[in-house]
Formats: sequence, structure tokens, C-alpha cells
Amino acid sequence: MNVQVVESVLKLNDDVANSNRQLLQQHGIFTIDLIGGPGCGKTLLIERTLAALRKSMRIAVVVGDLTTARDAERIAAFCTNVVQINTGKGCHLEAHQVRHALDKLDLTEIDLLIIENVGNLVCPVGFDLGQNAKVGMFATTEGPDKPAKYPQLVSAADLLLLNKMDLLHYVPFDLAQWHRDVARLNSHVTVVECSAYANDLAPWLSWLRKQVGTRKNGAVKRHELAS
Amino acid sequence: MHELSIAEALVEQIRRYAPSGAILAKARVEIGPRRAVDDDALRFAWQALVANTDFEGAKLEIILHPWDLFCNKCKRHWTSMDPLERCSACGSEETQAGGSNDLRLLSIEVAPDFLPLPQRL
Repeated sequence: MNVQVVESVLKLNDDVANSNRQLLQQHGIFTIDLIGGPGCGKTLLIERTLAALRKSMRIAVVVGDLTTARDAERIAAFCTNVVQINTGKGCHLEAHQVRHALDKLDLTEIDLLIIENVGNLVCPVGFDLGQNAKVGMFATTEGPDKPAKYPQLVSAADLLLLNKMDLLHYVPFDLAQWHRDVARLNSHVTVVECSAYANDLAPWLSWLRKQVGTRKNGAVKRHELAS
Repeated sequence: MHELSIAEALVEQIRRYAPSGAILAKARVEIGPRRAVDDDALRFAWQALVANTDFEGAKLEIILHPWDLFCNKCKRHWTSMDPLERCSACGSEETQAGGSNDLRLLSIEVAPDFLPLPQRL
């Protein structure tokens, strides 16, 4: 006997992700899922982003790691709204984990939510968390072949960051090849070269400002209703 | 090894669709090229999960879809498992890769001799 199904295998995750998205949207929060390999600079990027933007917008961070609260402790120096998720041995975040993290945050006090996924270029890509944008992050120190080796992340990303541009001249890195591969895999993606360490983040910060601004104008926030 | 999470979701999903007490013979799954799922790892995870359960021995059939490729130079469309394959007609590297992001359970097959057992009195 054959039973036709045709349903997403991750339907339960997708349902929770959609409900996260709806909840975040209701509060006018712009949410990014930041995906990149271990050591590409995700946490430093978040620290620098908080330092640059915390006076102009209210930011919360949810950070996923297998173990330790070290990232959350680093980020806590810049922002009080930070929740660490320890996945144990899980190689990626799932929507229900983000939902539990959202329960610990006052959503009426947030404009931008940054979800730092577990350091991994493969596993997090296919798990919707309820974000508005997927941001993929590479670094010059990883070598120029990473987009070709991890095409699904490139293909899924709304924005790609190439970090550690300050080290470009110290590592073997064919910048043209990197850009060519990215363009062949995703012709619509916005690409930003940056250096979190050197605080060279202007296009990234203006992209965030623009996204958050659009969102805020389009949604009535609860604190505005209350006042 | 996110394939283990996916295999777990798949087993749960099949339980929602399989008639109660059914002997599962086969499950058919499709994976789009933009979905980062390795078919061997998924099969391995499936086998590990169903061992010593009522699903043991059930076959997992995986349909892997290739990337859709387009050559910007000679305007040719073709498919390949390699998203960065050169155009085999003109040799150009000016190509675009796309495709589906689907990861779907298509159907399940329960053993042909399966008949629901009458309720015990």
C-alpha cells in the first residue's frame, strides 16, 4: 500500500520558525541568522556592531554554541539582552531553541535581533529559525575556495560578509576567484568585504541601519502604542 | 551531522502518516540541490535510528535533484551535481546555479501483506 505524503521533512521546525517570524514581525524586530565557520569572526563582528549601533537602536543577541557561555559573556560587555543557547552536541540551531530564547527577552524593547548560529558552514543552512535575512560569513584566512566548497550557504544567503580583509595581503587568497564563485552560485546576494578587527564595517552597518529602519517604519511597536 | 536531526524528524513524520501497526517497507524522500543534506549521511542516520524498532529493514529511497545551470554566454540550460561546472558547450565559467531547496517526504509504502490486526477483545 502506497501512501502519498509530499510534505517538508522539517515541517515541525518550519512551523515553529514561521511562528517565531510572525512574533518578531509583530514587534517590528529585524532578525538575522549569522552563519559562518568557527573562527571566522562572528562574535567580534557582533561586538563591533553593538559598539557602533547600540546608541541608535536596541539590539538583542541570541548566541548558539555546543558548550560554554564565553560568547555570551563577551557580548554581555556591550549589551544586556543576550541569551546563550548551548546545543550540547548539536551542530546547528533549531527554531524551538530560538523560541525558548525569545521567551527570555522583552521583545517590546528590541529593534534588531542577531542570532549567532553554531560555528559551521553546512548544518545551520537548512534550518529556518524565523529570521528575515540569512547572513553568511567567510574570512580571507579560510582561503578562497570556501564558497565553492559550501555552495548551499552561498546560495541561501541574503548577504555575504568576507571578513578579515585587513589580512588579505598576508594570506594566499584570490579575491577575484572568490567573487566569481559567489556570483555563479547566487547572483542576487549582497556582498560586503569587511574587517571586524580593524573596525572596517561601514557598508555592513549601513545595511543593518537600512533594514532596521524599514522594519520600524512598517510596524507599530508596542512601546509606541503604550505611550 | 545535522542528518541525524533530519532522520529523527523523518521517523516522527512517517509515524504520523503510517497506518497504526503498519509494517513500513519504504519511504521516498527528495532533496533539492540547495539543501545541504548528504544522502549517505542521511541513510546512515536512518539505519542507526530504525535499528531494533518496528521500522528496521525499511528502505529509504532518496531522490537527489541536480543543480539547474545556465550559461550566461551561450544561453544553454543543463543540470549537473556540480554547481560550478563549466558550460560544456562553450566552456564558459560565466554560469548561474540554482535549484530547489526542498527536503520532502514524498510517499511511504507499507508491506503488501499488511492488514490491520483486529482489535484484541
